[in-house]
Amino acid sequence: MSKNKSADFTTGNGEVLSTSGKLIRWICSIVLIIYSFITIFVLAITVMDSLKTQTDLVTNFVGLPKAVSFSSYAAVLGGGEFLRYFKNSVILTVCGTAGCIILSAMAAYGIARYKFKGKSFLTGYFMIGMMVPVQVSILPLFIILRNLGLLNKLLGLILVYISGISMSCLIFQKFFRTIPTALEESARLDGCHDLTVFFKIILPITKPVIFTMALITAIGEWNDFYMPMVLLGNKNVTTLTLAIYRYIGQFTRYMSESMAAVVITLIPIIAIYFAFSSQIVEGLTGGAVKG
Amino acid sequence: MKRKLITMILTSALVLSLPIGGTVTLAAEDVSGTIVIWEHDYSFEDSLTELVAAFNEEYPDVSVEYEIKADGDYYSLLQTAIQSGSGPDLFWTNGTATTNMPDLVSNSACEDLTDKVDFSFISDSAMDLAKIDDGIYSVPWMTLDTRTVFYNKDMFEENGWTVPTTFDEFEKLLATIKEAGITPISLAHDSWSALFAFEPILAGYSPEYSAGLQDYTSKADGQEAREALQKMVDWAEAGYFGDNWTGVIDNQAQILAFTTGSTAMNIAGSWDAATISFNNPGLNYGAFAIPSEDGTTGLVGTAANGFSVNAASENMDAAIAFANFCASKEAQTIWVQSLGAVSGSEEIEASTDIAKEISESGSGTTYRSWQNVLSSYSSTGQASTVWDADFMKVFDGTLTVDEFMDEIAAEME
Amino acid sequence: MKKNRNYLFFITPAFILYTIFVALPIVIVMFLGFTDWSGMGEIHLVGIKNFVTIFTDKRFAPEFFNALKNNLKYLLCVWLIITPFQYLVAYLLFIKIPAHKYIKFMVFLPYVISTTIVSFFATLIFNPNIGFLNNFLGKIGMASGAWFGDPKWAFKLLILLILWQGSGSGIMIFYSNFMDISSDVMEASRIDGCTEWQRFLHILLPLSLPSCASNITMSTIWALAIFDMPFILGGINGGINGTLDFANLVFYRYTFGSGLNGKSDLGFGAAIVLIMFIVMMAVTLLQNKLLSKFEYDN
Repeated sequence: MSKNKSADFTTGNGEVLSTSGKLIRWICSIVLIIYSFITIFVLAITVMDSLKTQTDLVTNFVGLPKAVSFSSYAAVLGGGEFLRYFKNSVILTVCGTAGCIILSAMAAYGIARYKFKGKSFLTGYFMIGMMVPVQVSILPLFIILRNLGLLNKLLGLILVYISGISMSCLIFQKFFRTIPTALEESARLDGCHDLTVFFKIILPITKPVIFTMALITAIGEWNDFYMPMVLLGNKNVTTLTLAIYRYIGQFTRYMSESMAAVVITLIPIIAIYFAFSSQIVEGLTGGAVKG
Repeated sequence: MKRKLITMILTSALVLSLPIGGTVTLAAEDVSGTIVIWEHDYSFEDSLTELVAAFNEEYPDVSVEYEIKADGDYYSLLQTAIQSGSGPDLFWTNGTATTNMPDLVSNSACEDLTDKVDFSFISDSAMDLAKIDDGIYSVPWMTLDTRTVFYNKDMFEENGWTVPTTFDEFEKLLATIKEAGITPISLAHDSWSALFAFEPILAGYSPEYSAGLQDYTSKADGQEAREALQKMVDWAEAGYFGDNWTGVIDNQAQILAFTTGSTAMNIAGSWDAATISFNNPGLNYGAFAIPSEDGTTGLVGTAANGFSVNAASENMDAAIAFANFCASKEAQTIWVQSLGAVSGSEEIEASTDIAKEISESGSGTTYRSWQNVLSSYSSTGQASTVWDADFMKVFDGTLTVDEFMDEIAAEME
Repeated sequence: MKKNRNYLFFITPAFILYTIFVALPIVIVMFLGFTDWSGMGEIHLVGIKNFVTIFTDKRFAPEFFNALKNNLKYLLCVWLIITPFQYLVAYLLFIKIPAHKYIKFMVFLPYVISTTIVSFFATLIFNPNIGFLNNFLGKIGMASGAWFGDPKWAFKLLILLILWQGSGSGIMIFYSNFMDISSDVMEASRIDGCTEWQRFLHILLPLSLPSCASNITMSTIWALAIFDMPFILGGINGGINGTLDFANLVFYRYTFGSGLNGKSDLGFGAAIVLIMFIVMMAVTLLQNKLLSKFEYDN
């Protein structure tokens, strides 16, 4: 088969497809597109409901708004210090995610690439964090933060978020083991320190996984209202999610406000997703190993 | 007219809130600093804001901050905070209705407010929530947290249904509505929602029994309670709560079915009135109490508890000043009216028509809650837990009414 | 594999923070499992009394084992339904089926939707009084159902909702693992004229197994620690006849007292956590033993 001829049947990965293979792909694709209608349906109703007035909403959950009203957005954004809450949320999420990803990637690399005593213990030890729900450890955590003078301070919760390395550490570990060691060896022969090797060579070629885990971690932290509610009591350190939880927590009372609140929290996440997803797609194809 | 009345109430409240008799209160300008209050539910936030604003008119130098810790582990968090020395200056508990405030009191975490706060405005029955042994440990709110039957007025009118005046009429009404192809009552399939329906049904079924709960001359598993529960189970089977009511997963779904006009009635806590009105401002609805066979009515419920003062508060003067303010008629009026609650005091007028309607539907009689008896007179302390775990099993058919009541009886004095 | 002390540079910072903010609170809670502490006042050691109660109390034990049984049932669903689904979708995205960019975005999106909204839509669709589903079934003349209130349906619907809402993260992880497979290998397979099936079986599958292992380990732990979804859909008492009851719901009920009603009992709750912890450890170890047989290590 000549390259020219196959062009029509070539997917992005460059392999050639038979007609039946193509058909199967189309079928899968159509099934998933239909499946995605559920999500579209849910989000479309959320957005539409957020634009309805309360009376309109209750008699009409699903239809188009009778008249578009932004009053619920005004209620959610207007009350109090939206900008400060937003800033707090951004600081928490950015610092928490960056710290957590770097720390867990380092720890995972240490476990995956070195031989030392207590290695398997450490692997298990780092997994404990996933095994108990946050409600279990919140009370001792409250006391620990209090004793460190970090209660009601952003730094305190940032440290807690950074320490939540369990999941990403586990994912990174197995992943680092699939990377050929040849690359690092050559760099090391050039006299680079292990840390330099890690930051200069390993991190760049693991971009897809790093970004995926960063995204998942960031979403968790951004959407979290429980820890800020317990550990950040003071108004100065209230987060956006906690501030609008006031509406979501009384959903039946403030339905359209809740819907607006959901849309408001979704927007930054979707923006980040688009920023990240191109990185994920690039992935290794243009990365270091190939060159 | 209304404004005049409110002004009058406010002025008289201001006069009343001045220190009287044996209560020693510091002059307002001497009190300053910051106090922190913990509440357990966002629905109180607006009332709390109003309360603080009114307090600050009297005590401008005190800065009041509140935190709402709205989660199921409120009490555990509160205990942890108090034990670690970073507790709030004032905090909400359910008073003597649950074991939490007594626990805190026995660990000397609550300040005894006797002689520090002027309780003259609070009724004796409300004070029961605050008294443990010889001390008073919280300031109750004079709201009446009762259960009621909300009904869709427009739907009743269209179909020519009328508010029942006897228990028998009520039962017949349910059948009529069901025959018309409409679900008579919106009810969620969880133990608390079902309880808030069971208690008023019990009160209508046997007022004598319900009156006897006050001093526990009526046993929790009494014959009348068994019969009333059986009646409710029969109604569930007849589809009066909807053909598939086991699928109504929570109180929110229960309210929505009523506000969207899918059901004719909704038996629930009176505090849900505010949510119903918020949810569908256009809904034309009213409330009645389930009548007894001879036509008398009564309301099941109690006052609500308010704030306690942390014994370790670093700003005790301001904390006491706030507690004292809460006990005043002014504060009580703000609280009852801003919540749209049913008033528990003749001197406070409810702010909404529906609250007045609920209040009037009881013709002045109040009964103690059946569930409250479970927590107060359980020899093992477990009756309430058993009730919570097994109540719905009666409706699912895994337990008979008698088996369930015998289980309860085993945990009672 | 290197043998020098440089690993300390990598591990120490994470180890210190993790120990203070994650491990220490958990260890404290586990210690409480041996006490009768209610959350206030003095702490009395009671030995293994809490554990004896868990296994022998005639009220509690059946409740706990029912919840545990549901956890294991859910775990099976994770292994047999959810994870294969995630892997399949990730693979389809990787081979760039038509509209893959759109699909990738859409399968991930539900993951960011807050659980409150999920519960609202569950009401909107499945509520027997106001839900679409019964409305629709009524219109076409079919019998309506109680859905989450029906023991035959509740668990299945829970799995469906989790499949929709929760599988996004797993898909993304699988997908990014595929993306990290060296394109040299893919290129080589193309030149060698592999069929798509051969390439999947001999290249992609073995190369992605290590990450599958970690993904499965994680899903397993989460399956045993599930809390949010059943709590929203079935309430704190675990749905009708306990069909939606899980170990963490039992923990929550007994530790904090349901509905701000009961007495909180931190000691007893901690004992439940400890037992679940042991179950998780056992399942994870067993699973790792099984998975390591297939593992590809370079």
